[in-house]
Amino acid sequence: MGMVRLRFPFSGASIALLAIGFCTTAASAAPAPEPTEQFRKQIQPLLAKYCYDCHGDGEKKGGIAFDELKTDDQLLNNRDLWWRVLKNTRTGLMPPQKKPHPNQEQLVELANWIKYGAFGIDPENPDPGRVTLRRLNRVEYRNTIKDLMGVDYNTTEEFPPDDTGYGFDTIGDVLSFSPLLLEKYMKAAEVIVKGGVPLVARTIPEWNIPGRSFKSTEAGVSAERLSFYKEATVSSSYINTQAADYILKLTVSVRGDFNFDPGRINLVLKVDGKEQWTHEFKWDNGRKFQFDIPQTWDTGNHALALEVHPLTPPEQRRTNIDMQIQSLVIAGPTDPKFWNVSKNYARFFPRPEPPKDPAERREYAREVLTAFTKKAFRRPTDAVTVAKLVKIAEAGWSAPGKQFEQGIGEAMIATLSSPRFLFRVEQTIKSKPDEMYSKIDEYSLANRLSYFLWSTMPDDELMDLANRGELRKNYAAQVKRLMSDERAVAMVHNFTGQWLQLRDVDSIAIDARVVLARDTNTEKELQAQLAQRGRGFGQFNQNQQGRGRNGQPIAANGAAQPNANGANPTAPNGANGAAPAAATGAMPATAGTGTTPAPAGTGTTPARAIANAAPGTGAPSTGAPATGTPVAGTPATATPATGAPATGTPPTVVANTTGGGPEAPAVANGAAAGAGATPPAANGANPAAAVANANGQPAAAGARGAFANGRGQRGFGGRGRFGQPAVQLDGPLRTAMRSEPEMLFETIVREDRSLLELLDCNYTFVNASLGKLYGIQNVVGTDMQRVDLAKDSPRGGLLTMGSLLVVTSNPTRTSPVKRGQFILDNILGMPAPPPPPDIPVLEDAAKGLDHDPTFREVLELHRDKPLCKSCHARMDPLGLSLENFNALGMFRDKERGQTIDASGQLLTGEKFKDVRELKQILVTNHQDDFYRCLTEKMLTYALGRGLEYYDVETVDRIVDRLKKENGRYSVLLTGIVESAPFQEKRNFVAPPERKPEQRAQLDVHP
Amino acid sequence: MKQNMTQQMSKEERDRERLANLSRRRFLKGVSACIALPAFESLLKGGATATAAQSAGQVAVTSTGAPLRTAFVYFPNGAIPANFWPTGEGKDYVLNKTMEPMADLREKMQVYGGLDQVNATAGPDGAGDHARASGTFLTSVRVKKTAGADIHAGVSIDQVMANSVGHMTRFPSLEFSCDAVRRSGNCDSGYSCAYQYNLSWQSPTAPVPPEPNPRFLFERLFGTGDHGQRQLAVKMRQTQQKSILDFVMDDARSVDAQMGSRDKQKLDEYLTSIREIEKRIQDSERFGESPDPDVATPSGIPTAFADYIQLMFDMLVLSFQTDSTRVATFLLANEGSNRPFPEIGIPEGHHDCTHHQNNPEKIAKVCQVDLFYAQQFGKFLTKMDSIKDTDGNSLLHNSMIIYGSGNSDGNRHTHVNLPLIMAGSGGGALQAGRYAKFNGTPMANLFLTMADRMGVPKLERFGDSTGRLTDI
Repeated sequence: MGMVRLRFPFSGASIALLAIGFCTTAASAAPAPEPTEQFRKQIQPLLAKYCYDCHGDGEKKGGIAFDELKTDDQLLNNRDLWWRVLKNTRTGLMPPQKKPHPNQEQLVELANWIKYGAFGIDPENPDPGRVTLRRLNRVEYRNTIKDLMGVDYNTTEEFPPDDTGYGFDTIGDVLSFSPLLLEKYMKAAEVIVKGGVPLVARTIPEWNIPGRSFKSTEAGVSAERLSFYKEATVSSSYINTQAADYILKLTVSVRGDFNFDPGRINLVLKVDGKEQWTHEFKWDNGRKFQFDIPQTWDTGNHALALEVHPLTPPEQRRTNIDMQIQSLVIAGPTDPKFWNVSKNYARFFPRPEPPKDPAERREYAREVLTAFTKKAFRRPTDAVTVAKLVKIAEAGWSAPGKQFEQGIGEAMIATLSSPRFLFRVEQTIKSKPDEMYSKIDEYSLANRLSYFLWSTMPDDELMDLANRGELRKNYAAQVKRLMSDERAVAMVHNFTGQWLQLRDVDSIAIDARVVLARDTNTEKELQAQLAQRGRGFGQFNQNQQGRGRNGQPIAANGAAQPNANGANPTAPNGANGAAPAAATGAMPATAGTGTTPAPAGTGTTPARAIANAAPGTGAPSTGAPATGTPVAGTPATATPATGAPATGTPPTVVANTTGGGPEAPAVANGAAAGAGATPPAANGANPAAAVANANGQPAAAGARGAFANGRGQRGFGGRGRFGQPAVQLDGPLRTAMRSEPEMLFETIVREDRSLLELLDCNYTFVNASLGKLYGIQNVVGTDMQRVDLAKDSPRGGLLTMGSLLVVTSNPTRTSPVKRGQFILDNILGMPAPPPPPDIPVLEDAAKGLDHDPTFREVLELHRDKPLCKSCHARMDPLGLSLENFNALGMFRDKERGQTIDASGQLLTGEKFKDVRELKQILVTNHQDDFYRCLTEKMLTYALGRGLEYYDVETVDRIVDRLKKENGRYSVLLTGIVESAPFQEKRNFVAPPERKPEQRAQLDVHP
Repeated sequence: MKQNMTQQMSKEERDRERLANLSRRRFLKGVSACIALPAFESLLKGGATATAAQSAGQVAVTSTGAPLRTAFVYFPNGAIPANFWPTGEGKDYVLNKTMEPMADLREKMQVYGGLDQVNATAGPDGAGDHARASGTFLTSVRVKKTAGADIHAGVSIDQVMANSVGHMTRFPSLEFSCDAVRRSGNCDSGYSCAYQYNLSWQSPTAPVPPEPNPRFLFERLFGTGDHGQRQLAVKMRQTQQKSILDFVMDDARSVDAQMGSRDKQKLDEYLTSIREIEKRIQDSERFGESPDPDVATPSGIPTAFADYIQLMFDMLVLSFQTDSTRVATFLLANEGSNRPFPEIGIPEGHHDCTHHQNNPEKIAKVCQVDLFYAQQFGKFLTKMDSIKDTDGNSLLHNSMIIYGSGNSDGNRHTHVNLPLIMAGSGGGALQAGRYAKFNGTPMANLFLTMADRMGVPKLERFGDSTGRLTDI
């Protein structure tokens, strides 16, 4: 057995053989007979029976013919091939659905031969793999600094982005280093030490009055935005308890527009009505100023006022300038006898003050720096290093005017620039001198654990255990402690942020207006409107200020008057949903007044009616289940919907309805009113309101109304100006979208629930604005909260979360291909190979059709091409199942006027009619695939390297346990942290494992 | 009273506005006006640089002794060929629509046709043309297809130049990018993201990450603080760095002793970084006082993409003008970028549009994006052209600036006949004002010749080069 084990990890390339002479000679001269014999006896007949139709007997599909593997070498040195065979047979992709399939036993036989024969994995002592020295990434650096120094250093802004590999930023091989980075680390160290290490034992007391605490008696005047063209006074007060000298530290900033403005002001500070200070300010683009203003104060209350006196007449105004009062800090008394012990002082300095005697000082410095470097390097530091640091410290404090603490600070800067801080240096404990793999030492293990689960350095408890060599002894308990600690949320954020690409939610660009116009089939009109104005889309989005206050109605199709009048904003507040505002068109809804609740019956009319004229086909007609927790679609009134069937909608109201007469279905739920203009925004001018909540939303009645009214509401930015879509993918909504899957994942982590809930579950997390996007009502406020979902809700589980739907979309539309690919890559772990090079140009699919092609049609054309078929048959059904969700993640049942068909069939044969059924299929038939995929992803993240063939066994073991224990999260976690690759390290330098040519073949299109 | 105030203001205002515009509008109005050029000139003529240049042998200098600069500016996803390529040939060429923004500069640039990067083609590697396009662009090698474990490209041509001429300037090379936000997840078809976000490679395994933040770039070049304080800030920083470097060098060596080869390689990147900074500090004495342009430090990344690009170009102009470096690369956006351009009426993503399936609307949109990038580049050239160099010629005249993409036709992912512009005259050594067709020549041949001009000694081969491109 030993020989087998030896042979396979290193025999891939001939270079490897040269490198380790002693074992290779044995291996290549006399290959162990068992695997090849076993192959010929057991495996070859299997392949002949089930695979040779395409991969043997002269057939060579995808370039693979098993009967061409004749020599032992061909058989055994073909790991990439066998790895693919293993993946494809396990996921059911091979043999193809229509062909005969091997039974379970045969599949296991094949898998075992691949693992133990072809790969030569020794299950007793698997190869832990090669991990490259890892630099802390931006997140880890930030957290580590926070824990070590008590300083939050914004690495996202200060450091260049880390390169990623295998989808994660924890991969040692791609976390590269450069002079630029070292400069940045040195600069960061300096800034951090200056900000975090108190230079003196005692500091002056400070009382901070934030800018926003300065209030004006005048409505609408905020100290955080004082115009340069308006007299204003903002005030606050302070009760002084010690008669003494103080220093007032005033911080303000001038926030001018990017373009120059001639405005100037005097800013005056008055204390108890008397002017104490004044300063003139002029245009600047976000510059900060700080002033120190000395004061001698009695005890008692002091009135503080800041006054803005414009010096420039308003007619000279060109752009904008505001004065922002950031803070006023009252520092004092200035007499040191009143000072406080410095914050953070005890963190670094155990004694209240340093000794005076030089020798004692050095000794104390040694003590301070030994403790500090042990923390910073996450393992004990040798005396030589500490001695060098003491020298640096001494040089520092010996400089004229410098103190002991400053000297220590210098040494700390050096420490934080050291490779031992910036990299995770690991060591092994060898139990035998010549063993190939050894356990990593306990400090290394403590580091691996805490960086995996907390994305930061080990805490004192972990370090203490490592120190005593008792971490492994207490391993299970420690893992549990770490997992339930608050800091474990780091893993949730960083892992899901990358696995599910949630990090992209913040920055992805989606043009809501175009997306919504597609759904209401008014895209062309929208384009025309914009073209007519000669302006691009985004300019409207970008310059929200100062545009469209009295926006002109834009004629599109001559009919629709987009909601031009920003001043007349919104549909009645829909906070509670079914606000109706009769859309007579003649009556612009007045903000704040239209709270008349809709009669339950009308509320059921799908908002979409306006735009799409679609009957509410998919809408379940049942009322909302009236359960306790907020339930999706519970009508605002909390009255169970009376079940007015959605299909009752008058079917034919189309876009161009101009007047929106009372009989128009637009009345229904105030959707039209949402436009807030006369006539109602029938033609996509306000598409969002229209699309709102398509049916199929399980939500009962009221839910729809809610969304339709979304327009003037917070969160959607629907100020009702021209071109402002009712749904904006704004910051708060993005944050909510990102939080949703994180919270689901965290719930599963915290409650040790089944990972299958990631695929399908009956609850989710929303706040008011995300709820509205989903058509889930009754959720109030910006806080995310758990809601139970109606039984037939399409939401629940990752697939139909806004975040996933958004990151897999293009800026103006969905991308079924990206979505399908995403599911294959990240949920099922059966990525389709990348498209082949030199793809023939797809002629515009619209040719020959009398309408704009649906995605389904485009993709069908695409799949007709033999070159594209094999992979698109895999991706497309998955992606198309999500077509009911637009690029913003909103439910819809039409796009460009055509009803969406979300049904499909997986390559593995299962048929589904919509995404709800698909989720069920995934949970029941593909849970192994999902477990394996998630395990691989998390293992990659945890180990900081891509997985290799020899990791198959580790993954299999975890998946087997997950299957037995209903997918509990703790099984996955313990499986990873107890696995050989997590616990061990190779002891020697492995030669290159593959020649580049071989690796390249991995990804060749079949 | 008010009348009075207004009048009084207006003159004062005018002055103030002028100043503000010059110094505050983040150079957008034109760098040339706001730099204390005389100081720089005297520095060059009488100062250390000239001496350094002489003592070090003539590298990266023009025939008049002025600095010779090279920059590579990369735009993503190729360009629609029908609008990119000029008509005519040689001196009698007519710029096409995409190059209209450069019409005034027609005599100061060349369009290069027929240069290829064949190593970016699929070959045995399959999909991933975007990753390869940028990974190959300045390396001319076939980059290794890997999602992370063993990234491998080649030393890029700018770094080859920097290795030879870097000692002439404070910074051997500078790397810029306007793509600060990375996508998470996997990059192009099984290639590590490193290939798509880095143009420069200091070694085959170590890319040089570009700086996306104009403020940091500026502070790195000229020091922190306001004008007048920066030189001191630079000195203080260097003193600080010196004390750290000695320690960490020792420290790195002690760690090094315990490691395997791949780990050593990582640590080597660290050690190299130390050495480079050390060298820079040593060199700085040779260069004398660091330049301190009389402009405000940029406050950060502007919101509008065009402003962002211009501000970064201004940084590039500044670094050339102050002779802080002679070699630079600038990634306008990562290859494959799917940035939408709402500001010019294109809400769809760029990459998305480039796969236009011959749909005329989409093609028109891509053309607009191509034009957008060309406009940005044109503005930069105009600035370069408006600034006088030490020899009385313009900065542009004394430069070799390549503007191009590693994809030629984004729709089909081709890597031959790459869209390339060579701006500047290389100090008079280039034949500006023509459209030259090279008919299927490796781009590496051009690199060899450019390296010669920069003074790189004896570079015999580079990537897939087959010889030198004599006729540039």
